[in-house]
Amino acid sequence: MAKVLQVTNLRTCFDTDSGTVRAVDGVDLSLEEGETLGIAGESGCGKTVLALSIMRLIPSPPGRIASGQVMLDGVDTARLSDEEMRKIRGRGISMIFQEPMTSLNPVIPVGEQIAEAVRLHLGLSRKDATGKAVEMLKTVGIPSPSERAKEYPHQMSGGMRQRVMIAIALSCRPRLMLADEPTTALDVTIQAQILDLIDRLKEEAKTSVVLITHDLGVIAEAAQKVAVMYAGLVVEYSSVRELYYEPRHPYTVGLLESRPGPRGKGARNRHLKVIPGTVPNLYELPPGCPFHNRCNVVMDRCKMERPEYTEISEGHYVRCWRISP
Amino acid sequence: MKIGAYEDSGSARTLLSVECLKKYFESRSGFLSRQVRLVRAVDGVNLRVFKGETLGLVGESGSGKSTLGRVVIRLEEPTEGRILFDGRDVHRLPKEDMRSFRRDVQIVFQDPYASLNPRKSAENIIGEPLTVQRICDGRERRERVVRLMEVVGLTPDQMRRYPHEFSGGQRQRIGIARAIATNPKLIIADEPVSALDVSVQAQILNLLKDLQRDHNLTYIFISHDLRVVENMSDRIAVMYLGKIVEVAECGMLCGEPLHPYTQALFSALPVMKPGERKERIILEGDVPSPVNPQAGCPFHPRCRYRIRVCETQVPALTRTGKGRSVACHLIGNDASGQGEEERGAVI
Ligand SMILES: Nc1ncnc2c1ncn2[C@@H]1O[C@H](COP(=O)(O)OP(=O)(O)OP(=O)(O)O)[C@@H](O)[C@H]1O
Ligand SMILES: Nc1ncnc2c1ncn2[C@@H]1O[C@H](COP(=O)(O)OP(=O)(O)OP(=O)(O)O)[C@@H](O)[C@H]1O
Ligand SMILES: [Mg+2]
Ligand SMILES: [Mg+2]
Repeated sequence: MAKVLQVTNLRTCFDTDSGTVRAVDGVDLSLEEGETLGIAGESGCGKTVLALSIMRLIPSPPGRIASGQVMLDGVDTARLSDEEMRKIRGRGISMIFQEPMTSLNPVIPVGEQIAEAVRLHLGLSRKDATGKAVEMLKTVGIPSPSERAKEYPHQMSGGMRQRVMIAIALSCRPRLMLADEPTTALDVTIQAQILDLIDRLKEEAKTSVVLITHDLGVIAEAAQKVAVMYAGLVVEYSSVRELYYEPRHPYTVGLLESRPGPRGKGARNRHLKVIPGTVPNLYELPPGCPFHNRCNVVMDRCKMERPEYTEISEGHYVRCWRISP
Repeated sequence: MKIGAYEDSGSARTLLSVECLKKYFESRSGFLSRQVRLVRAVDGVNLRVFKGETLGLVGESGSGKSTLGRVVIRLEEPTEGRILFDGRDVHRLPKEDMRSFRRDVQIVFQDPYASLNPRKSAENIIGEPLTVQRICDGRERRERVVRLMEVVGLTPDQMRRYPHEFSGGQRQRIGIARAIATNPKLIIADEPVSALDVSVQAQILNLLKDLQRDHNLTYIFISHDLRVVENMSDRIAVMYLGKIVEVAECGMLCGEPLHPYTQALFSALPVMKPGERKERIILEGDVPSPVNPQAGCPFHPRCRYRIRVCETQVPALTRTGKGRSVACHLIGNDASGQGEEERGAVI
């Protein structure tokens, strides 16, 4: 099957006053048609920067893509002109941002914003586009859509704004959708609605999805592939099933174990398993494996040499000297 | 409403009792608008907290959890109703009792970045309540701070550092050290781990468990993360639009939620088992606003079981069995043998 997205050895840096931050530091990923890839990782590990790098939307300066390749449907994006890239961003890839308020125009009614996107990408007339916008609002589950279309973003709740973003993203039936924490700011019942929606529309348009979230539960439900990031690196990548049932990287294992699950009796008095220490500051990363100072199976080598990204079984990659010496 | 039918376990075990509590805010619809709207943030809450337990408080954003906590520790005045702490009305305490109340009840906030004064050292932040409450000062205070820092897993040589020099998890430890400095009886933990990195959350949850065991603390644990609440709590109360819709022992509530909203909440929770997709109840519509709420049950516009009466009458929180109360017409009307006199039960 064709790879919709293939990322090879991608590095993105920011040159700041206090030094260079290597926000994405050698990432390899791939995604097939109709699949969802979950990207998990803690705050600051480079998830958003990775998504922006794929979109070629890194603010420069201070940011720059230092090395690597991003292929969309077999086309190397570095070879495309800005104009061509802009076209792809409209029709080929859509992005749903972490905070929808920042990407919606506050002074234009939401219906018009959807209509504008539809007009641009599907070449509809103004009137048809307006009709299509209302239809999209209905599809994403907004009640009384023709009235709601006239409202401004600030008149809507966070969940509704997020649905407007999804309506815009999907009205163009993109090949690839990057969703950056689309439900993090939302309540669980609304989160369920949004995930359901992404899933349904994914089926209809065969869109491939990159779903960024720090919630491993969301990924377990929504994705087929998963990449776990730590300090700018993908430390483990595999099918969702394999990662949850046979996690290999000590960080993945720790994350899965420290998450409170449905409890048995007396859980209140039992300790949760923990990963000691804290997430390292990207400005002062230790040499070697970035996880070594929190790792419970650390070896001398881990303190010196960065582990290689190794395929340990088909489609299962790990960056750890313990697992793949 | 009549308050009665307490659990026979009796009031001796009760540390905090919230009775018919309402907290309304006035809010203007626009900068220039004269129109004042009423936000019913807490709208008739009855709740008891027992000594030594953790009461989990869950509910969607805006359901009134933080407001309830803030009224309990007297950061806000109630609009109606009262709060009894150790049997005494919190908002009518004489001055000298006020001092001991301030000592006995503490709060830990969600955002360890915003809740600590950036211009104070860790020592001063943790020690401040000791000075304010005139518990100790000077060298004695320093010794206490050293011990508190050790208890929460900080090293005392970090005492002179300022908040920005600590990580999020460490800052939350400072907030916790400050909260336990006065030897409180009750701690309200308002989303204490929500702002922390996932890999650090378990550390703080374990710390809270240890402190509870060692110091006999009672917690009101507020969180929107059901898994965390489930792990921490003895009992859980579910809030919706300013009202408690269900309160029950943790295992009961999580194992067999009764209120349609609690059911939806648990069914929406992702399970960590890929491939084992469960049936989800997808609620229609949005969380409604606490401004000008509709008549009847607050949940009825989204409820798939609603019947006529739900649109007109607010269901009372009713005891449905040992250790559980639910506010739902369908469940209240169940022929469970519970009589009318059980209505308005507080547990
Ligand atoms: N414009 C910028 N200038 C300097 N550093 C930046 C910039 N944008 C991002 N970074 C740094 O890059 C790193 C990765 O940031 P990124 O936003 O990708 O994290 P994230 O994984 O999306 O985190 P979160 O879960 O909090 O959204 C961070 O250390 C951040 O400080
Ligand atoms: N000082 C205030 N003035 C006006 N309205 C207020 C005030 N404080 C809270 N509210 C409103 O009261 C309602 C309940 O807010 P509260 O912060 O208690 O909710 P919450 O359950 O803690 O939500 P979250 O999960 O988002 O923290 C909200 O609609 C909020 O906007
Ligand atoms: Mg991000
Ligand atoms: Mg709150």
